[in-house]
Amino acid sequence: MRIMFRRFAGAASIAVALGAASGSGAGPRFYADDPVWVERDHQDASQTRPWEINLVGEIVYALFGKPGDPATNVRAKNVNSVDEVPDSSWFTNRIGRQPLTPDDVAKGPDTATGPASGTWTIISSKTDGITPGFTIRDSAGQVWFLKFDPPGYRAMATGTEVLVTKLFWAVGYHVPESYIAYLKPDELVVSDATRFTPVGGKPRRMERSDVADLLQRADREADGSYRVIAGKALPKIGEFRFYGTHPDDPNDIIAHEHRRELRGLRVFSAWVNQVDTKGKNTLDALIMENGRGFIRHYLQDFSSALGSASVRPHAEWEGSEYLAEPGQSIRQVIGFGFRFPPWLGDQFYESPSVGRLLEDNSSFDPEAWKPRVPNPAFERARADDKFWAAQKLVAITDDMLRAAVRTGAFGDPESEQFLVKALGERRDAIARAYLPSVNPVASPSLESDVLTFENVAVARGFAKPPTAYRVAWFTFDNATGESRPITEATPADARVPAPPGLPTSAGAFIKVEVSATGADPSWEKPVHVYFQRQAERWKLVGFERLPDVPSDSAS
Amino acid sequence: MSRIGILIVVCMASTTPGWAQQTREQLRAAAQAEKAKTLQPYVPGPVERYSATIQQALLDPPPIYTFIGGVFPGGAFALGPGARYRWTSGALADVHGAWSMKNYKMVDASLKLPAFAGRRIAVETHANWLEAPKVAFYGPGNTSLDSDRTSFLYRSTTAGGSARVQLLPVASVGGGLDYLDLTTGPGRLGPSIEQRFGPVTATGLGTAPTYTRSHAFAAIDWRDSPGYSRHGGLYRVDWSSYQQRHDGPYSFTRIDAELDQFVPLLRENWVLAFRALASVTGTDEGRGVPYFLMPSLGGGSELRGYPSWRFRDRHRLLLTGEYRWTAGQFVDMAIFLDAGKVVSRRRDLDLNDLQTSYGIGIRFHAPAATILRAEVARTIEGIGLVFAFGPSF
Repeated sequence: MRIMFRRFAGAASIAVALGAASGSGAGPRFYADDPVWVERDHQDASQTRPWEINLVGEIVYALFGKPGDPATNVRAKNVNSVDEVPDSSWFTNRIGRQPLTPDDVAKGPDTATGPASGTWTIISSKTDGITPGFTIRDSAGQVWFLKFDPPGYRAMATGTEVLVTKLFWAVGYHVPESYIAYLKPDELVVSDATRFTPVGGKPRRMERSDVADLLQRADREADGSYRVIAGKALPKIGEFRFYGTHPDDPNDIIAHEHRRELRGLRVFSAWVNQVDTKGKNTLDALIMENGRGFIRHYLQDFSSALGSASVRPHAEWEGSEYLAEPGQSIRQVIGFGFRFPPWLGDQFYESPSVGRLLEDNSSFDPEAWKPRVPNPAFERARADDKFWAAQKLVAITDDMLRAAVRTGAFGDPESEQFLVKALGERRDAIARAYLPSVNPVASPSLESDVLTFENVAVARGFAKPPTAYRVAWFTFDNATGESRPITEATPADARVPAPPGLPTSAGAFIKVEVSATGADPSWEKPVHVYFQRQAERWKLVGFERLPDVPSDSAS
Repeated sequence: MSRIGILIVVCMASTTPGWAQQTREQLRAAAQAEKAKTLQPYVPGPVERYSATIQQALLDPPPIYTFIGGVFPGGAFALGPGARYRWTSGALADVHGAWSMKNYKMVDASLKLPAFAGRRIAVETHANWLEAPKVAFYGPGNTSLDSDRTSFLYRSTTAGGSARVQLLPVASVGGGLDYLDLTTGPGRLGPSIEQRFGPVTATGLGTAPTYTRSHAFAAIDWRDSPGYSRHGGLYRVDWSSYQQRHDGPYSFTRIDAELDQFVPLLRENWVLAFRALASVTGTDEGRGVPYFLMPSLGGGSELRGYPSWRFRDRHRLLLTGEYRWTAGQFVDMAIFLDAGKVVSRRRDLDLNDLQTSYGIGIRFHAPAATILRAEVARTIEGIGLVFAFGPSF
């Protein structure tokens, strides 16, 4: 695919300048405002033209093409100088950076209580996707998008959607407000202007019988009402792809496959088994503020997560295989059906309100997890991207999980208990996989002439402490990027006195390399920490867990 | 390097040693300002364009279209123009014609009315004209010889209507009435039928009967989908009465019974599929079933590997077993065994002297439809290839 969301030609240069701080020698390593924690959209995007992703095209290209930057092992380009993702129109740091309570998680993005009661007027019907849906205007004039549970699976799709919305909000993504509500057919009216397109037919005025037909595909409550998920309407202008940039959005300057929050989404999607993470399930909204517009990027449509596949329970293979894997198919053909896929031996928890999800998640393997179609950002996730996501994930407590699951109102205590347990087990399995797989030193601080840091994997109980750390001190020239060794130490723990002779002039930089021995070999690769001398203290200005060592790029 | 890249490098170089006055925020603003100069709307690439076209064709079929498929068993691949009109959900008027690689021709018109009574009752009418100049006839019976192959012209005009009542989600009954005007004549492929067979071995040879056909069925169907199933079953009985007009000698009744069962194993990684199909005809004393309306075996789904119409007689029996395995989410493989016979006496409809074929095939499918089926089958007469756009059963 060419123009749309093409790789922005200057992305690599921009990334160096905008925050990745990998040191090119073309300029200073650190700037006065490092580390940047808020990325602003400076250009007015109000003239951006609406666009839509073609679902089939997206799936075909993802399955059989190679969308995105061909270079591999590229460090995320939107991280700030301390290896974190700044707040932006893509992401807001919440868990791990803001104090969150279980109640905060349960509230999530919500600012109201759902659609106002009274007459709901259908203003359009859903014409894409596989689930029936309406757009309605409630009695207060607010527009909502409604989706249903499939017959016989009360709460499966709606409860899952609300629960996952809350969890994705907590980890930092922009998500629409979603509420569980109840649609009463006798309070539903069809606007005269509402158009409906029957399958294989032409658009025409929507009739009451069309509503009845659509409701036949929805689960009905005993009192005749329909449980729905009500998503608050956003000023949608399009959707985003997981690669390239949008050619019509002036603020979109970093290829999406190189955005850490989109790479890290692989970890969160594996956590909640959101197998349907694709561009068609995103939403770009044109937000107007003070007469200027910018595009905020949302994730949505979480009803194909956990055990729900929206209109049915997940099939056993989902989460383990892509929709098409030619190599595996050839092996299956040759194997006459006796090459059994790994998921064949798995045991599943099944219930109408949950659908179908692995029964025992304590041995869940996040590396083996797959969405339905390959995701270009997921494919490029490196160990530092996964570490970043896992670090956020371990900050989600069991109480937060319980609070989030309660918002799904599954009406089935056993299933709710299972979901809390499953999410906790998957969280821990992810942490076990990703926190120790790269040098887990984090949160360095140099105060009162003592360097302290945290070994996240050890502190969270997912790895044994190393035999010793190696701490090497350097002076650092911000203009040239050159460093000169001062000394090094091998402390047994994460607290090291600063050596004598560190620069004392304001604005001076030092570099510290911290590695560990006697543990996972990956821990022997040092993290690089940079401090700048302020008037009375050392300020952390730089942190790099893994260097940028891209493979040869076709471009 | 792009203009933006150059801009950034120039900015950095030109400000040395004034970097301290520079901020990342300023650089970001500059990069966004540079991009703002080159904005362009989204232009879909070829994959997206083709996909959108296909998607549009599936979701909103164009009123004028190209018919692709078969017109009659043994007629090979056919193409032709078509027109259709949908005016409400479930309603369809369609007219299409087709011309096959074997010079078979067909014009078909149908009118499907919207289902009513809570979508339980569906009614449709249809009319069809067909000319098939090379239909095979090998003689009646289960021991007919491949070397006796002849051909005949079969021309039919059909008009009628039918109704279907969905009693339960899995149970339905229905019926209909048709008018059939049939003509037969010399074939145009190899020896013509009259050169090798006479009225005794080819009942109704040279006749052109006109029928009123009434038919009814009852079915229990709990398959996933008629187009592609991994579990469930179909149990169906069809009854038809062919009454030749003007009290001709070729009136008869026909009963077809079909039992299909799909047994999923290992989470549908394997599926054992079974089919039993029996057809019997009945006549009053002194009447016969014309050879061109007799039950038959052969073709793409009934005794695969044999050509279409390979075996014909008054009654038939077909047993099929398939071992299917999943090779991908859209690909299945199957090993199959077909066994069947045709007989002139109902009491001979047993398991002795069955004709058999076996083979292997690949099927590409959507969740509810078989898109393409390619099979190779072995019979005692050789190897046959099957290409079809639907399931074997």
